[in-house]
Amino acid sequence: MSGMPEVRNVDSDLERQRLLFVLSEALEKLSRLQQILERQQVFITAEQVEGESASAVDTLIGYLEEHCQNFLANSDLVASILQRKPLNKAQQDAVIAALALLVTGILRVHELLLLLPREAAKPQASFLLRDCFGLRDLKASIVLTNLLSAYEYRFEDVLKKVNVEQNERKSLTQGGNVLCQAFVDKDNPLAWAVLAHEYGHALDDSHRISQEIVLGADSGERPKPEENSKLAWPVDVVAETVADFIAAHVLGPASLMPIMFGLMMQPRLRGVTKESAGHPPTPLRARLVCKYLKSISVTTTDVDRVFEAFRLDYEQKLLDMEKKDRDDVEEMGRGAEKLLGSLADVIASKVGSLGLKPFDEGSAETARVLRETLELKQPISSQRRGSAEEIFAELSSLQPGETTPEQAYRVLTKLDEVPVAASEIVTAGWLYRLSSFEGVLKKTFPGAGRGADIRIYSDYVKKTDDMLQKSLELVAVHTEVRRRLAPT
Amino acid sequence: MATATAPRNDIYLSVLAGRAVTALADLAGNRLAWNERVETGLNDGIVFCQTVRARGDRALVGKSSEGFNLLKRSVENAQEANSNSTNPCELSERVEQFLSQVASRKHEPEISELAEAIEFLRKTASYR
Repeated sequence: MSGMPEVRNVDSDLERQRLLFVLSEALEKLSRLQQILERQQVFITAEQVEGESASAVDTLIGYLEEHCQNFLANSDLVASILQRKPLNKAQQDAVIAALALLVTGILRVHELLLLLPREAAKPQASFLLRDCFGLRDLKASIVLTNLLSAYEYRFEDVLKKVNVEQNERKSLTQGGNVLCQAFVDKDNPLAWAVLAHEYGHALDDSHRISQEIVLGADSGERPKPEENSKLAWPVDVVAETVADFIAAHVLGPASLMPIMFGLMMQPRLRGVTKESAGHPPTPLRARLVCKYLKSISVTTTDVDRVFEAFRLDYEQKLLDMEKKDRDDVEEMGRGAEKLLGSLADVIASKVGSLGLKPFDEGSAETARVLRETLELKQPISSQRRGSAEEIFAELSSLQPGETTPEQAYRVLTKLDEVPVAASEIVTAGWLYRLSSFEGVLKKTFPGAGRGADIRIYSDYVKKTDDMLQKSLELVAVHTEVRRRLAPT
Repeated sequence: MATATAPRNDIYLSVLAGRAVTALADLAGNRLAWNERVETGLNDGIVFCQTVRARGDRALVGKSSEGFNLLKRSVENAQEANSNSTNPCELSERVEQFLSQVASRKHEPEISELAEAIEFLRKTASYR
């Protein structure tokens, strides 16, 4: 018998696309975690007078490295998928399994970061929120934490969970709302879209939107789950949708991207738990957000393939679940769908009436142009008022001796650079990532026994982060300068 | 609040599983391939199977074998696949036995067997 087994083609383009999305997300998270651990190592080593090694951090670095090396041992198979070469079923399954185990290592190390000194969030994350919500003094603090707290729990939920009473909660949040961000998202402006969702919860609370929709305008304090679970669940489900719509309103389709990528990377779906019960299933959330965006005339064409890959991923993971867990998720989904089917329009109308600056088709178009600038490895903080062609044409129309200085200056002001919106930067960042990551993966995994060079992907992640952070920072500075120079 | 959710004594199992997956992937490319990586990986896989079974096991509790039925991959046939279950402990024994036979070079593995073992390792060792 020959030692060479039969081969088959990768199931479909969508399957391949999904796998590449997961691969890119995993390598990003790996790269960011390695950076965090290196910084922790420097910090701890500097603190130790005797110059002892930072053993706990070294252990985590070593653990992550073992997972990384295990995964990289399958580099040639990864390269084959990238190059659309046929693999047999066991080889395909091996790549998927190796990736799932790499993600397992990443997620476990991420949880353990709770035990290490916490870094501070980037100021650019606040700049993004200020710009999106049009507030110069946005009252919100961002704290770094684990994935569960960042993506499924609110700080307020944690305080309630540990029985901190209402009046004590007020004093704990005097500095404003506390928004949780995953450790690994610290340097990643593309993931900061989640903060817009979190701030959406804060707006929901202050405007009592979800509470009034479910309980009526005269309702008192939000019901506690233990007091009235029949009412608490609909309020929570509506609250999630309010926050989703607010984030989509100010950020467009980018608002859901980090959530979908994060879930695609998880090796399996979580069953319904007390903590997650208030979250409608993500495919339903994605559907409602798309419908909401359509209602404000924003298309999702640029990111449709992410939505499609996510749907496929979710369906397959749902099938992977224990039957009972699957039934629970599906039952919860049906309940949420029934509830939101009748309330989504009311929620949309309430969100629309908040007066927030919307992300519109013009913003999407600007983001597409900015993506091209990002490809040139340049920051994307501003745009000229007029195109080069437009300005040349108008300059040519000026007549010596006839044109007044005012007319000439009117044309020349089109050379002014105006700051773009932070939401356009984040969207451009996502478009750039979606259009570029596969090429970088191919360079990272050249195949044919040449081994993978993970530093190529890490450099790409770091450079993209730097460009986006720099852009957000420049927008904040530029906007402030223009505000101060503007006639009062 | 500052509690890690990953049980410490579990966490290295995924490293063992990862090495086993690589060994099985090597054999999936060439069933006659034999080198140190394959040998070590198969032995790590055996240790993995023994450990998860010896532990009781949290890693296996609540995991029916529905994930190990190839039919299950197809959406249309999911219901049939769900009804066709095997005890997960038996599965771990079966995978261990398979790995032992391959490691002792008494058995030339079929692709479907390799795929089944890989699926077992993925499902048992990946993050929950």
